[in-house]
Amino acid sequence: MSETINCQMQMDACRPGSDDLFQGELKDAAKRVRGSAADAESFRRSQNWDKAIGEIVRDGEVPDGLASALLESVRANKQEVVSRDVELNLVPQRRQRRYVVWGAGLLSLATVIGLVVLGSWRSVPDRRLTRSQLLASVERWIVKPGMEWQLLTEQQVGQFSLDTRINFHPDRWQAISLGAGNDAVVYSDEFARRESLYLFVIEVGTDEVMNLPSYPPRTADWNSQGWYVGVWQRDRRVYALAVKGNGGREYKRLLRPVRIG
Amino acid sequence: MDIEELIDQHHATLYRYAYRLTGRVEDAEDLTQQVFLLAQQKLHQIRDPTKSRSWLFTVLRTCFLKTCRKRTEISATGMAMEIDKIPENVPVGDEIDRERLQQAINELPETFRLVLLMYYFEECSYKEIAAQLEIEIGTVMSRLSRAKARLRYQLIPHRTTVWGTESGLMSLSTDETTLR
Repeated sequence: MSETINCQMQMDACRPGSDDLFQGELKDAAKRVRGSAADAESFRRSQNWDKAIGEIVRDGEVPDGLASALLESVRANKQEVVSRDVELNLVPQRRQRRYVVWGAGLLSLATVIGLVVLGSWRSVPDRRLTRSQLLASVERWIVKPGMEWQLLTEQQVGQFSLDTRINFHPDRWQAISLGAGNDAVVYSDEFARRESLYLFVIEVGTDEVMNLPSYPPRTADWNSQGWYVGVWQRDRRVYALAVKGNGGREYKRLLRPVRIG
Repeated sequence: MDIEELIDQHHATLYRYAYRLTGRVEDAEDLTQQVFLLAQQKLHQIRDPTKSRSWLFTVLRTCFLKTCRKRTEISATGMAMEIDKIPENVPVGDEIDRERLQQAINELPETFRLVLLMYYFEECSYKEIAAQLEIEIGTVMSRLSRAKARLRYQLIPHRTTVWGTESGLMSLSTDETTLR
């Protein structure tokens, strides 16, 4: 490395408006600037240039709604972590109390059998679905998809609950059951993307707050066996977009280029 | 300090930094989100709230480097550059083409881009950059100088006069073995 390059590098290391030039490592550059009016002038111009570039670099537009989208995502994440922690904490308690639970269970079972026999009991499915249950159900389904497809006619498209924020034009659908008895519809695009793209739409109750983002996440929440899945909730519908392949880029490609928020 | 306060105070700065690093709106949004989700988990590490900004920058840089799966391929064409002397009528402020500037930044290899943005965006000294990235001061100076030369080359109209010294041609190479 020549002395010339050294001096240039040293000058380039100085921040505009700082006293960096007087640092020990930059003594060659300092000597040069002090000893030559031309070099001093060149250094001054270089610092002005750096100042202008720095100002531009630190400036720039920020997408509308970015802060609220970020808040939403950290809240959803927090809820997910809390749910997981609660589940984990329950395990030892269950073990400690297993005899009590067994005893109570037997009594309950007897009661339930009695009620069934009397015909005065009807099962009410618990329709509450957690995020992890949803992802697990989606995973199970895409590994072994149902075959009861129905064609989606043009007249039907408007009636169906698609999210316009994804670039997806399905041509078939089928009704399925996901998780705890939740009714869902899965859409696919047989013509363009045979068995590599599914959109799940699950109707949920008004009290079912799964703390999901209200927009399709730009990065898939989960991936397995080449599938990338993102989940979000809009009003009373939960969506799960599952796209296969290309390291998640295919998933991303389906999201319309709108700014988040 | 909680995560919501952090988002409120720093989301715009973090996004701008992420945009400069990634060069794409979508990637910058993703990176910003990733930083705050990680920050949410590691919040306890912030002992001094006045340092939360630089802590977030560190998280951002780490996330950025992790997401860089492969180094930017640098075409040999145009990489040999003449280090022009800064002309007297150097463009300033609005005269600088912002899109071209970002494009020039995007074309830099990640390691050069990172050093350049730590200098311009974070306004770090060369010593701070070296300490943060755990690299030698000489490496910082060489990366910074070469990256800045590249920007000058792209943004300032060429002149025949070379830099006030006798430097001549300089090549932007990722092989730094000769530079340490």
